[in-house]
Amino acid sequence: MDAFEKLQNSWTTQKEVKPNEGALHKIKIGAKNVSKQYVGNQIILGITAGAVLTFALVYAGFSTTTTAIGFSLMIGCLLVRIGFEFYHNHRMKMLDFTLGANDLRNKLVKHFDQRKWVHYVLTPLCVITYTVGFILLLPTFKNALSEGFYTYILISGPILLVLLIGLLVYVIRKENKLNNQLKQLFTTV
Amino acid sequence: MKNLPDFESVYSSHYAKVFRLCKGYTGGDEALAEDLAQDAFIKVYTHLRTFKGASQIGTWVYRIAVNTCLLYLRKNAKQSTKSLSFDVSDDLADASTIKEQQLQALYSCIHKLKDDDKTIILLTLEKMPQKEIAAFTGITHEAIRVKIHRIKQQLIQCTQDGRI
Repeated sequence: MDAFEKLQNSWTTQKEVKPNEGALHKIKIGAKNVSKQYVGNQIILGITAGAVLTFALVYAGFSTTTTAIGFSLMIGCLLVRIGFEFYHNHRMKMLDFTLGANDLRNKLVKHFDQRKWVHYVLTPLCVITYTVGFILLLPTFKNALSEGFYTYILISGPILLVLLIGLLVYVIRKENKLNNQLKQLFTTV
Repeated sequence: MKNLPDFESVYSSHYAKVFRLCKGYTGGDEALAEDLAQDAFIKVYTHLRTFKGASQIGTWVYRIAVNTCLLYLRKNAKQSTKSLSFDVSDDLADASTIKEQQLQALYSCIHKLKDDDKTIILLTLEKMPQKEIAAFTGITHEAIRVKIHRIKQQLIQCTQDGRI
């Protein structure tokens, strides 16, 4: 038996570790939680789109072209952003861990590049489009809502937008930092 | 309809091997290896229906385990995992203690290797055929043979003097 065969023998004959009691149950729960996690983000974005759509249908209606354009821009950009989030989450969820190490590495690097495009191109475009839609709708809000509620929207709208942008910048920076580290590691190893 | 393997039987027959493979990546850290093995089996559970039977189920499970461990190591590259230190001197000890020391030395030496080299040697230790290791790593069969030879020498040297 040569030196490596001795090492291999030590390796394969080491004491077998049995899984902890309840580990199997934990795995099944873990698999379900992964699915739930992906759905969570999409629900938040979906509720926002739903709220805008409900307002459009119930309160304002598509009375003028400007209103229709305003609502279309707001709803459209949210739907596009949700669509991309769905698509990327689905791709990550479906990431084939049975691939060869190189193929998996290439897929991940491609995914990181696409996320960068979403963060730096698509998301700012969506925020701008959403803001334009909101501004176009202000006359409709003024006509359809009480003065107090209109004033509330006028003040809270920009504040919420700034908060949303702040939150987006924080989330994007966090994800980008991780993605850049990963991309660097995956391309250099 | 294809006959899918039963998850429970895949789990019970492969857990120990997946655990020691993960332990190889974590430098002997058992708690972390347990977490990684669990994560790998979550993926096995999720993807089992996609198993086409092109390879043996064991090879398929190893692939998932290796990718899970590699992804973890790369995500956490800045944090170093615990590495067991070992004493290379020969003490007067019984056979089981000597074997345990050899194993500790082995884990410690594997931990010192580059990530890709870890994968190659761990799969070699698990007796995966070179052809399959080559397919998995995307390296030619000839190149993998040379690499395996080099890493084996490094490992033998390291378990004797602690240096890579």
